[in-house]
Amino acid sequence: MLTLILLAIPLFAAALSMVAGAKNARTLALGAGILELIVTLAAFFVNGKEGSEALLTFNREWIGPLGISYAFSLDGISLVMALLVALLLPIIIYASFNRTFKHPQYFYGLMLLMAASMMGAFTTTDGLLFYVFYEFALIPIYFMILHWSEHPDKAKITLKFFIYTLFGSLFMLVSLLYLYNISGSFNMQALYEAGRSLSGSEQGWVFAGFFIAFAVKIPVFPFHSWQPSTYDSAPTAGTMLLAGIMLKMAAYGMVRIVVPALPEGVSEYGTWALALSAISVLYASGMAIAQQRYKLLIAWSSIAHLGVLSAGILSGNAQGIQGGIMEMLSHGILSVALFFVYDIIESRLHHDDMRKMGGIREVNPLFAFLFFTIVMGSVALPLTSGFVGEFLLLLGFYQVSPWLTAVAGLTVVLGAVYMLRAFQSMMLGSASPAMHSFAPLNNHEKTVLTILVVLVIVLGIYPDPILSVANPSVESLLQGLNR
Amino acid sequence: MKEIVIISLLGIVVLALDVLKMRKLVLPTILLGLVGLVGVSIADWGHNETPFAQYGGMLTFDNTALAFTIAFATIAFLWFVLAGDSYTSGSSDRTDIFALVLFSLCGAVVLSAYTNLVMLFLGVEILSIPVYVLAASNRKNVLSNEAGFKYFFLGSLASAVLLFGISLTYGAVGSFNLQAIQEHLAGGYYSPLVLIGTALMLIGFSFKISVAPFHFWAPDVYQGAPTPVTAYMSTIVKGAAFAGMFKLFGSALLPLPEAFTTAMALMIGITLIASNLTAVVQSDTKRMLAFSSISHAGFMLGFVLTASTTSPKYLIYYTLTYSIASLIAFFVIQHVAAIQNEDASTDAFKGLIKRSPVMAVSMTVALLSMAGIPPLSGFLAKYYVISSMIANEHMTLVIIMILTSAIGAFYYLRVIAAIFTPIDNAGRIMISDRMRRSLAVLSVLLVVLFFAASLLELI
Repeated sequence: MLTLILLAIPLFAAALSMVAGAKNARTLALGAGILELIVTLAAFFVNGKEGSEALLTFNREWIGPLGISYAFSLDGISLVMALLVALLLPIIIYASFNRTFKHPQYFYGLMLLMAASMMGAFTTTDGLLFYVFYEFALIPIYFMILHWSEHPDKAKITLKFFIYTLFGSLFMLVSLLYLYNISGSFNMQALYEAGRSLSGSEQGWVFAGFFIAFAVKIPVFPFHSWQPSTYDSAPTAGTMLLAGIMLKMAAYGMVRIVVPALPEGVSEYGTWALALSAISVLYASGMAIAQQRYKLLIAWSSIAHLGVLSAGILSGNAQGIQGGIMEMLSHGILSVALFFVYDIIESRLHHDDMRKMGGIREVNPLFAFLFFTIVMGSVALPLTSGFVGEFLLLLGFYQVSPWLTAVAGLTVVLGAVYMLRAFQSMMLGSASPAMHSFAPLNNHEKTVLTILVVLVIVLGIYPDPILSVANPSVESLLQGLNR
Repeated sequence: MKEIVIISLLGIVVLALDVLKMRKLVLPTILLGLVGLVGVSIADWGHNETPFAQYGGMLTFDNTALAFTIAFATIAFLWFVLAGDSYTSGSSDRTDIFALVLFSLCGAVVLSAYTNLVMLFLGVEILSIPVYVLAASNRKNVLSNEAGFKYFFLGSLASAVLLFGISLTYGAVGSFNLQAIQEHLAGGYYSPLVLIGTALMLIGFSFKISVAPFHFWAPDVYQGAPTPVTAYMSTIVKGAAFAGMFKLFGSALLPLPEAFTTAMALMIGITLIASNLTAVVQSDTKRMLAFSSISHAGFMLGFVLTASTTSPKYLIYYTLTYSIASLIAFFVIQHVAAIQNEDASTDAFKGLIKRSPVMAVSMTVALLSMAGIPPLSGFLAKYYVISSMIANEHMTLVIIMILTSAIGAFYYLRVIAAIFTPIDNAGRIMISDRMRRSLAVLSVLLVVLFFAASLLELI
């Protein structure tokens, strides 16, 4: 029941927003976002209590004879993912209040529509429905970039983005259908059984289909080339949605489908995927170091972090997956924070060239302090949320391949290099005359940044609520796999 | 039988109304008649389940045939609603064209219900001959005349080839009846006569459904014919040819020798690759949609290839969803091109979102549905094809389908990007209220059919 409400709130609000007109669009969207958060927290609260089953799951036939149903369930993993959406959605909406958009009713409507589809992907237990939500999330963000980006090449960039991800996810469709052809049903459990009944090499092929889809979306080297330009050209709220939530659908797909359904495929053929992930980390870190523009640096650093994420999950053990879930949440918060910092800087300086900045700390110490905390989270310093996730991920990865872990572990070192360098060149030093006019943070910006910083620290010090909710589900997911 | 009587009478009544100078009544009469056709088909539902038995073994309106009939009647209904604006109300041209469409529709119904090869041939001819005329109906336009000629020559050649195939099959089997043919072939032995006959029938159909390597007529004809006629050709004519083909290759000619399945698989592969690659370089949207239509024929041929294990209901679903999207696309193109000196290039769509939001949004929905993006019914249609291909282990074709789908998305999105590109001095495009409402209804239908796909299981 609650799952349906979680889906209905943003859908309904999106429709309402498009009808109600420009005037109250953003207030309406924010209200919907907060409501979504409250319902998600309620779901957290009832989780594990007696009789919560009926509240947290929903199952109705859609195309009966084909074994496709409207099936949703909020188990531990889905709960954390739902929290990711419901937590970030109001923050992203509120963060966008410092800008005015043309046609805000459609802008926020599309945002809510996207939230709905991501929420659906994270909570459904039907393979085909997962595909539908996964794919549909593309439409709102496509139009958000196409209509609200100011980039001169936006038509080209969005086209590349769309074709790339569509192309990837079609491979997932084939893999799903291959499993379905054996199981006769799209129910996740049936898909798991079908997958496990396959021979090793068959599992390898099915795994390849899923991996291409997810590797394009996450993105993993060499499927990443759509990402930096798309992040760069999207309006900040769109970038936040993309980096903060949308990419997690792919990582979640690995957790939910690939690891439990294709154990042999992952263990025998996953080495390639792990190696690609490790390369991805190195390459993206190198690219991040080479960037002179802050937004592109964040885009590349995102690829580096997510390389570790996909490697950890594909190690297929409990630590790797727990770490993955934690990291998805943490990376979501951090990337929203990092892109919000971009937004603050861009709104004042109208550029994000780090060479032309410097000494902002002198002018605006509060901003520098908050930014510094976020940077610390991003380089996975202990006591920040980034640490918990990446530590567990690397721990999981280590059990499968110590050597590759050593490579992927460089992300922490290299991450420190580019993040601290960026911080140094933007914030430290003496302020040039151009920086003197750097306006202090207004209340709105202070609120958003403070909330994000508090989340980064709280989750770093006390990650237990998240991990303890996810744990039972992770264990039941891995049950029957000999790991 | 009632279905055919209704539709033929409707055509005659329409002509009579024209003679009696009651031209205002033409469109309402047609729409009412089509609703009646659907009603009668629903009333007949489930009564005629014995195959090959009615009307001296000539026609059987079993549930599949009725479902096809309902689908064609629905598409025709929508076509008439949209085409109502395209021809000057009260002109006698309009009545002629509408009557021709009705007669052609009669052929479509015959093709979905035939149980005898003679009826198959009659159906194909009844379906095609009015369309030859329709393609050339813009009499003062050279391109339209060219389209009519081309379509007529190649179409009649295809009919001749088909007829030759039918006669060879008759020579071997001694009967036109599908059941007799099925019994004759049940042992799995294909005599040389039947082999050649089947090959010729396959070629004849391939012309009609425009799959490679017999598709070369289609782009020129689609582009040259008046746009409403193109819309009709790419929906009902194509769908009916598929209905006929599915019945022949999906029941009567089973078990199909491997050479034919290989040939069909090859044709699908070539069709998908050739049409999609060519569509990419088209700047004219009407021509682009012609190639896209060929590509969709490639997908639909997948159902015929797997006909022995696939239910025809999925072909009906594909026909219906593709037709709805196609109707939207062609009629939007017509209205956009009409105010810009018949310029239907991608650039002509720039700023459409400002100039006519309804057309812009419905065109976007239609193109996304053709590209197979959920939650639009085009996705499920494609899903059904790919699903049946995987079940029959045509993995190479599945990969080709995926690659070409991505290419397809490329040229559909190019138009969408143009629609949402702002331009200066954008004058609004005025369309009638009826057109606006119908486009909205059609777009919503594309979403509704996705969620209501379980209705299909009634067939």
